[in-house]
Amino acid sequence: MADRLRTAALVHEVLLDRWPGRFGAAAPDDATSLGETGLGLDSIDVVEYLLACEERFAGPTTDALLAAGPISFGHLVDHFCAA
Amino acid sequence: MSARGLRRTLQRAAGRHPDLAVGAATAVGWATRPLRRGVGTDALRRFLPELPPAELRRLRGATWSTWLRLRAMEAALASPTASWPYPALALPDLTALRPPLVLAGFHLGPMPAVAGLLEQLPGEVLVLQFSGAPRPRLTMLPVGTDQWQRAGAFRRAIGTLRTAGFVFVLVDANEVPSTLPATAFGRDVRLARGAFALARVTGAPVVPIAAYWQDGRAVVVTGDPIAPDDEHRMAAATAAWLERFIRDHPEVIGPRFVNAFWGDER
Repeated sequence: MADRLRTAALVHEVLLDRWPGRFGAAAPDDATSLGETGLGLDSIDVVEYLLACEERFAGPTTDALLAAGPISFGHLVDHFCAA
Repeated sequence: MSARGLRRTLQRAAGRHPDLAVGAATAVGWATRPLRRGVGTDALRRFLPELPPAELRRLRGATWSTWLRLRAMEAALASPTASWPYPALALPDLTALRPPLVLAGFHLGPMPAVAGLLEQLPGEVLVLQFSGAPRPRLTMLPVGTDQWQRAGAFRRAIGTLRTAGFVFVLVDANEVPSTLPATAFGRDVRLARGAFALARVTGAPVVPIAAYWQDGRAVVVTGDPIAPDDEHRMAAATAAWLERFIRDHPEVIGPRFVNAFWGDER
């Protein structure tokens, strides 16, 4: 659980670093979509966020996550937590 | 025979004889100019307000001929039996197109001729598209209308560019949700953001590409590479190239471009 919290904090940190001032200091909840209905990222922003997370965690690739469809903040945290 | 009937006949013939079909379309376009088909003069005046009425009417007829030839080309491309469905092409120096490159296209003139160029490029050529017939040398990837499909296509395009490939993407596509402001013909316009975001993320230059008709050949032209930079500056440079191209070859304007560029304002 501690690992997941740490991973969530890092995933959130990447978001804040990528778009300074655009999002509040509180981390989104797990169910929040990264997309237009949640965080409000467009398709290009979503991919840039995923790439930034891959770089921050030095992998793994998020291709399968993206292919599976809508991605929430929790999906992203779980993806890198499981790596 | 009605204009629609003529068009259907041309389309049937095009798959087997693309040059003949394009030639016939040219003749039909000339013969049917009195019908005042083609892009309306009001729409043309939005691009070229300095043209006198008689010249606008002449241009309208030329857009009609361009449109008929485009339909003949599209029919040839859709033919399952056509191994090389293009009419005579005049291509730029392909050795100048070194990957990775983002090729930025438009709904202009004989746009399928651009595919004829793409098929001759070395390495992977990914075509991000909304519709169109598959071609053997090209990887056609539907962009889709869903945000996650679009994101998947964008991710795939990044991968192609990072492995020294080419990505072709239309930039006059106002149906996409993510656009950039630019100026063309003295007006504010919006260009689809994808090409410019790809260039920024991957460091690949953007090369504008379009085609026009000259003496029965489809001439494909490319602009100078636009170095990866701020997305807005790249969009501005692309819009400037587009305006120069259209001023040189205004007959390439068709209804799809008018719709893509000006939206519902015709």
